[in-house]
Amino acid sequence: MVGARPRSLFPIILVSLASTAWSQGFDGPARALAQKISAALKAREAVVFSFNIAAVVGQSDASAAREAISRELPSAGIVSNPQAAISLAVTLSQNLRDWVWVGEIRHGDIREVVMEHWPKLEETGGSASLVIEKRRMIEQETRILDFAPLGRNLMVLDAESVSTYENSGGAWQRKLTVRVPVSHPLPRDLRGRLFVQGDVYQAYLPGLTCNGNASNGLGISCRDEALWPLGSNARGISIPTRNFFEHFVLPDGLEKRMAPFFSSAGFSDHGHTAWLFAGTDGRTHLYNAAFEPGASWTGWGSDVAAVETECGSRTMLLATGSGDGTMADSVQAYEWAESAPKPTGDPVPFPGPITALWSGTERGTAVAISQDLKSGRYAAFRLAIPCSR
Amino acid sequence: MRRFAWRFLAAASLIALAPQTAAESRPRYGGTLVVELHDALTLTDPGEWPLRLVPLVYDRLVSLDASGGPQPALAASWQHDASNKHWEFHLRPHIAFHDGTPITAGAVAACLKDWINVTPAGDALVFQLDTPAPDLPVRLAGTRGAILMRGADGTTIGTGPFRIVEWQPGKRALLAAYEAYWSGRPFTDYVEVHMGRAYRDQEIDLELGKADLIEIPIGDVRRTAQQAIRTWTSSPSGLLSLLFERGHGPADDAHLREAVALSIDRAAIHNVLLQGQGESTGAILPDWLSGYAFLFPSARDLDRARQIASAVPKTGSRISLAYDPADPVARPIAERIALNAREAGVSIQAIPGAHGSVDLVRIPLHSLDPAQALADVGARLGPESLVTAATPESLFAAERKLLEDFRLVPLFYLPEIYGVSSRIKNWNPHPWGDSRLENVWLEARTP
Repeated sequence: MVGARPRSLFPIILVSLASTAWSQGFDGPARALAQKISAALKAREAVVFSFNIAAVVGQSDASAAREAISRELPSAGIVSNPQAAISLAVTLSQNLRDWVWVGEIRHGDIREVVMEHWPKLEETGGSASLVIEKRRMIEQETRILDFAPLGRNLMVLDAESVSTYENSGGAWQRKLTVRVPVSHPLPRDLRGRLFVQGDVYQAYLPGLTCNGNASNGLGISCRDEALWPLGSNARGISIPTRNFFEHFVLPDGLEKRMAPFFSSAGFSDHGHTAWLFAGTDGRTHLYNAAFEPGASWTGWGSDVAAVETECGSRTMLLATGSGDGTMADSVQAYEWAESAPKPTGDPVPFPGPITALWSGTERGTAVAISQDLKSGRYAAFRLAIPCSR
Repeated sequence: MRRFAWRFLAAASLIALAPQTAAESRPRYGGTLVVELHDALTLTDPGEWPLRLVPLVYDRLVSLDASGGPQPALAASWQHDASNKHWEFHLRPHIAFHDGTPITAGAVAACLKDWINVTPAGDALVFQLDTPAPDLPVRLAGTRGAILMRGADGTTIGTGPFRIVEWQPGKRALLAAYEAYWSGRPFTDYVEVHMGRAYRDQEIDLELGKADLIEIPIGDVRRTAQQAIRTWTSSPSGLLSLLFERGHGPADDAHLREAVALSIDRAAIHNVLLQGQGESTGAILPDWLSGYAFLFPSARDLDRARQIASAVPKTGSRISLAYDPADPVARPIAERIALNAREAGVSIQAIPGAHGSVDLVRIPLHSLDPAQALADVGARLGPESLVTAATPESLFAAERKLLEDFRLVPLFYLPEIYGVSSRIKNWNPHPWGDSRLENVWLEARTP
């Protein structure tokens, strides 16, 4: 298992990204604390209840915490009575990393303390430790689909060709280009992927798989095959004339027919791989390791990607924002925490709509392609999540 | 002619502004940063170094971010089993000790084996623990997790961003930037550490530009504020407490110790002698680390103290309270505690020195893992306590047990306060005091 804290993957969760703020998750721990308090009391034993806050929280969180514990105590069978001989003081506290519910039960000189703790969720932006480094690599008129490092050089897949670029004085200069022999019309919203290993490369277009060799004048050969690598050892079957996938092939080779999806991201949650799918229905869908559907939500864009950072084996999830092709977009990073995505850092702005967002072939990186709203040109960006920040 | 003059003036303004702008915007390499310390460091025992300095020379498998979350350091990644008892840490490739010796899993295991059960396996380190340790990465980020190699004479060779190039015991250490450091060479060329410097001398050196980072005793905070010295205050991270020695006559009576504990007017000491710095506490762990310190009462209860003290058989012998004479606030605090105890009917005399019937001690925080921090304090009370608690509830129980006989009486959690020279740029230490001097750069000295 990877990560520091035990997490259950699929409790019932309601994810509402459109809400103004992420809840700090008081409800579940409040319920657990109430059950502990209930277990410490005799049946039907009434208490004088008091609520305290020993944490630095905003007014809304304070209210949410009070409401959560006030709701959960009666649900656990705990009766409040100002005349009771037993006092119950519930305090919301915090330490460096966690929120802590503290329940202190006093009956004369007898004192019992129960606690519940859970990780804090950081606010978006502010002093978030994670920063996405965005570096513009190349820019051109033709729609860029993907790029990958080729040793010290760069290989680029665009709507027409595969090209190599060399760095000359800080600028990328195109050196070799080979046209992709396309056997069928490609969709208007063209997407593609490029993988490089040594001098050998594979290019994927909808319904088309190509192999080539950079040491052989970029010699390329293609065949009609629609199986794309989608990261985390999973693959998707592309629709040759569309911009989405309908089949998903799990790492063990099991093929699943899916509701159409634009993109997917596999990520590790406590040693198990879970999956996110950006569906053509405008919702992001969560599937667990057994490939059972879980929560779904709106508010994310059509492209999601998983980035394996070097920061403690964490996986960051990147997602584009919502909006159409006339608007500038952004990429937001999320960390998977307590069975829910937690926004981390500020959204990274782009000069126009994002036409591609892929996990990079370099660890800790992603590829983003954006069409500049002013110039109409396509720019390829390398996104990196450095550990030093 | 007039147009030319205006253009010239504009250009001249830009030229005048250019060096200043450049110096402020981008990190500058070079220079020597001078740190002054009151205490002396030893080359053989970095475990006793202040938490803020250890990472400069001795890297750990794991470091902590500003939120206390573990981040890869010498270990690039790690994983554990479902029980949190079996952990594997994978070393970053191509890393070396400061003398060029490759850092291998065997070398790291040899460094840590006296503290924790670890064995090398290829490039990985396997920790097999008897009890679940969900916070093992945080524990490894503490002072005891420092990775070093010992020479035949017991001196240490480190792994951090700075390497020791000169060491004058008790006086001076010169640390040079480690060019091959895995996360990049520090910006400054050297960190020069002057040890055994009196607090007043440190302040003068800062004012004269001879020092860049000094210690400010709590009693001087208001005065330095009036002098407009740039200061930085850490989270409360050092526990000032009473530690009753064993076998010291009347102080061996737990009821008497309880009476002393209840008699202490922490609020008055905090407001007057500590000038409001730090926080009063009845707990071992600070609240920012445990989240439950408020459960340990720290308020004075003089009536109860008198009641308990009156029931203690009178022996006629006085209890001696030893304090560190070099600590400017120790003497007045010890004397105030003695006064408080006398009000409860317990006779205590404050004396300078290291050991009395009871000692006023400052216990530094060496780990941000609460269980490890508690175990460190427990070790002061005798054989190292087995504090393996993983939840706040079990930690609370362990802490309550450590305090139940009143041999240790927590008083205050105190911050560290530094004076920082204006030429230090990118000063961004972690709240608990890790100075992160590898990220600091120095403004060029003006001739």
